[in-house]
Amino acid sequence: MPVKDRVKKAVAAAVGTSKPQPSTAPSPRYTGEEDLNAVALVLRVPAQAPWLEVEQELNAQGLTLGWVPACSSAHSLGALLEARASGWKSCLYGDLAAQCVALEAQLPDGTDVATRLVPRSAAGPDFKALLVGGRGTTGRIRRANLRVYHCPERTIFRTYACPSPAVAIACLTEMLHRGAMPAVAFVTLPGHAPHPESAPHPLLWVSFEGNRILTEARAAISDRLAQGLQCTAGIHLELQENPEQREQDALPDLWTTLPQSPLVQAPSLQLTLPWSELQHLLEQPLPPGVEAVVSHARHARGSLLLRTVVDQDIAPLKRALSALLASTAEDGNFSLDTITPEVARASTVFDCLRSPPPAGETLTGNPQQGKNVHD
Amino acid sequence: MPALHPGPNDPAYQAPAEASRETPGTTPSELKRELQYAPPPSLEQPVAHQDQDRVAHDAPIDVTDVKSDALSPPQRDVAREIFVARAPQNTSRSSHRGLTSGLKPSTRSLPPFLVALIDVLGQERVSISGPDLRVYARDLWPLPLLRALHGQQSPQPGVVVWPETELHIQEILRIARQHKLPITPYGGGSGVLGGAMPSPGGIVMDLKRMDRIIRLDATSGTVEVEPGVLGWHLEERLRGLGFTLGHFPSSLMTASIGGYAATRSAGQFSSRYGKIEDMVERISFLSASGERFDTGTPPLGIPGPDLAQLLLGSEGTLGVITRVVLRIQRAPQTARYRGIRFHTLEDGLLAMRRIMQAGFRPSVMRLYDELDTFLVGRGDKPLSEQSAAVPEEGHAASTAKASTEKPSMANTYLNAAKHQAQGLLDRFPQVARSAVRLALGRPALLEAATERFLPHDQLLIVGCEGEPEEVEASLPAMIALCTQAGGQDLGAEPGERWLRKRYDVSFKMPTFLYNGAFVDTVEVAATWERIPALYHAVRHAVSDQVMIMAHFSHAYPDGMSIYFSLGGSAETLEAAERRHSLAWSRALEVVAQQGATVSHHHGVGLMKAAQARLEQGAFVERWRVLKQQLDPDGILNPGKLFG
Repeated sequence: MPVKDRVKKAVAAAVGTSKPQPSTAPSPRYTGEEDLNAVALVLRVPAQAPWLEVEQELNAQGLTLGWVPACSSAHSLGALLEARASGWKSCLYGDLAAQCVALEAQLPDGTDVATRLVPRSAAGPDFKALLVGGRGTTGRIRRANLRVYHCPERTIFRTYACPSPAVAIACLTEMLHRGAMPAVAFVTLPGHAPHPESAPHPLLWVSFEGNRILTEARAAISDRLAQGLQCTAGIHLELQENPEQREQDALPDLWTTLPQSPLVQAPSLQLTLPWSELQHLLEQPLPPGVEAVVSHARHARGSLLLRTVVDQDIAPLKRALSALLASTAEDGNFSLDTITPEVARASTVFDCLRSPPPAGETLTGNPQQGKNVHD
Repeated sequence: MPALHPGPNDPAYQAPAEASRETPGTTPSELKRELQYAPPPSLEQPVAHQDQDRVAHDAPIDVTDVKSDALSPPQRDVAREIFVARAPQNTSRSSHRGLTSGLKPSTRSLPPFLVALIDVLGQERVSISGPDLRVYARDLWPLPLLRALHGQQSPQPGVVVWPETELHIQEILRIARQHKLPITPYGGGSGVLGGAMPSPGGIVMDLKRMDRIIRLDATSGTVEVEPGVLGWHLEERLRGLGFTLGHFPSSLMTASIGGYAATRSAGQFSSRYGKIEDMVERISFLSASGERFDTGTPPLGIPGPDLAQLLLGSEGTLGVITRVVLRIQRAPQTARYRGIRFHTLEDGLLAMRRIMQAGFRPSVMRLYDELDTFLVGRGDKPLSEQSAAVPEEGHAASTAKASTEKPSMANTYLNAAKHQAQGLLDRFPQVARSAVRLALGRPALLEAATERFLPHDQLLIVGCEGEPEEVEASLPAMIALCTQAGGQDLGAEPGERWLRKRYDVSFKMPTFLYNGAFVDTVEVAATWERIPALYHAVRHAVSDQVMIMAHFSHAYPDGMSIYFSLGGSAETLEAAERRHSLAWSRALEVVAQQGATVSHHHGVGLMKAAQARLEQGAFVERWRVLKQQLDPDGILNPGKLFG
């Protein structure tokens, strides 16, 4: 298979549009009848189950986890949960924690615990939060109950050329706050790979997925909002439900290259800020020798993925960004390295519940120790 | 009272004006102004703490709809105190002035803790007056209300304080620690499980003067508020700026943002906007030692465990919430509502599940069981007499069959009897009192009559709001899923009627209490496959003790909530309490057996503490460790949540 086609298939898998493949295994390893609650659409999986294997098994049954890791797809679901991973489709699905209905875990003192399998509860705090994001220090996740979804009937891609980075952010946030709910969203900047050299304006990339009616409606909303902000529609692409038709769809080059970019695959720095601050930051010139893309969009904040292309040491980049942010901050006192004392204090609350992970073990079932699983 | 969800013809829901075209060279900020995307300057910057910046508090709320003629004079006095206290508070400084300020007591005669409180807060923010202590002796937990109507007062706090700043709260916490006094944070007092019941002799800290809207960030879609802002006032303010929080609990008019967060509240539109935990971006709170914490995400690096999710639902036991940053949405451009009739509960539930699992996000989706459908009166005629909607394109086949069905004579007589009875009860309060007590005192008979005579109608209310493209596409598709499951489209009227009347039920409780009966609600949640069995098991378990009906709401792709309403009566207070207690314990036992949660959005308080402890199992010990770290002296709302 030509390299380009292989890339296309990888991207299609990443954005959830891969053609469901018939399972070759005699029985599913993770998605058997005992594991899959087909009425509530909840899957109970062991923590060490790799995301990719689970997703492929579900795809064979016309289902999907929806959530897609932005790091290696070989990571285990337990590791991704303990890292509170965000994922490519954070706009639509939230982080992996949001997909977790219930957890079974072992606490540092050896006690086995389980949260009740219920859609929502107000019977006290959500104790899943003790474990998710704890990196194994507040308890080791053994099993997780995750929501699963029907495979999208339709996926629509849109790319808009925007007058400025600030307008691109405004356009994206309007979509988010008016219920258009893209699944994946990026903003790329001229002069910053992987932005195409031929495109002189910032580009907003969004994809919509789900049932046919809702997906088309959301794409129509996004077109209207973008038009109102003078953003010019570029590449439109619709992936069809019919697999044969889907094979004929040509993924635009940028959609194939963006998720494979070194910038996205191995970000040196991920700066997460409220949209208003991110918008303000992008109005300033970024430090020279830096590649940047906006990603991991959530309702109220997004991330700027940054990578220095001239120096392997990110310290100069951090210094430059700190200076830039300090110059634009109202009180002139913003630093990347010092978060507010109140936020820092909040993280220490959990110290009383932590125990160091056993020697030689960092994350539950993490097949690639040392790799970045935070997003 | 202004409508927060105006009807489809309301000017607020007219299609948005076509965005004006930008001329070449327009800057982004100019463009934003043209499109009205920027918030008004007054909210771009932190709002000064001045009275003129406050939310308008002049919305009149009628809480006088009470049949007080039926009461003896002493009962009337108690009742007035109870229900006036629950009225939406005017939160201007003067209205919350402590009564001690008028009395000018000699501080030498006061206990040291009170002297200390007056020293740091001033007399106008401290009260030990009898009426204040009685008012703050309870929240809306039905049990103490029932007792109060029989002349049994709840234990009172020792003092009520109204802090206005974080510094005030820190000082109150310091004094409480010093004197080993328990503190009960108090928002709107609309909780129904005793979560805001004070510790006898302790401090009630009413946060309603902490009611500033600090900052609205239009680009990020967030608003930062203090905990005492009432949900109603915040929503009014947001609507005026083109936004919505999307949170509409039945207690909207009295509950505060801090109360929402402390109990994991849910609103009627949760299927679209989520519960309060989905709306909270970050929380600031003070531990018992007065240390300030912020659950915000660090700009760099990897977030650890989400402390906000542990504060949400902690009911004031881990800290005092001082600021909340909430995610807000653009106000919907259009909204449409429908009523769908189902002959069986299972068909209605199937339709709801299919809608949620297809990915639709209805703003409202509520299925009423047959008794709730009949009693609460979703229309002037029984559903069987309501004509089907004019078939929309694509729905002709599904509605044609339904529209040929004729109402039975029994249904017609039943409905006529209901309206005649209502008229009689309105005119003769003493008769009403006897009738209510008589009917609710024989729940088994009522249950049998329900099964034998009531029409098998279950009404589903479906609403859709948002951008026009989504609403116009989604609603017909959702109706199609309903008709495929056996539903009959009744058109817009039942849905729009529900919209107009959706808060009325919150004001029904006084009517029952004044008539010598009690009412209560039990809201639980489970995954889809457990819902039918859970519903029938709870009904079966309690129907010999209380009248029970339910509606199914707050739907998610994986499950939903059931909201049971209980009504009962007995000759004496002791007998009524026994009946109430038995119904509750049986219901919650069944809920646990069925693998459901004992609370979906009312929280735990005192009433569900034992069952919540069982449900959370070993996590309760983890909570105690956290509690020990944040509140080592155990002064924060002791006895609540897990005890």
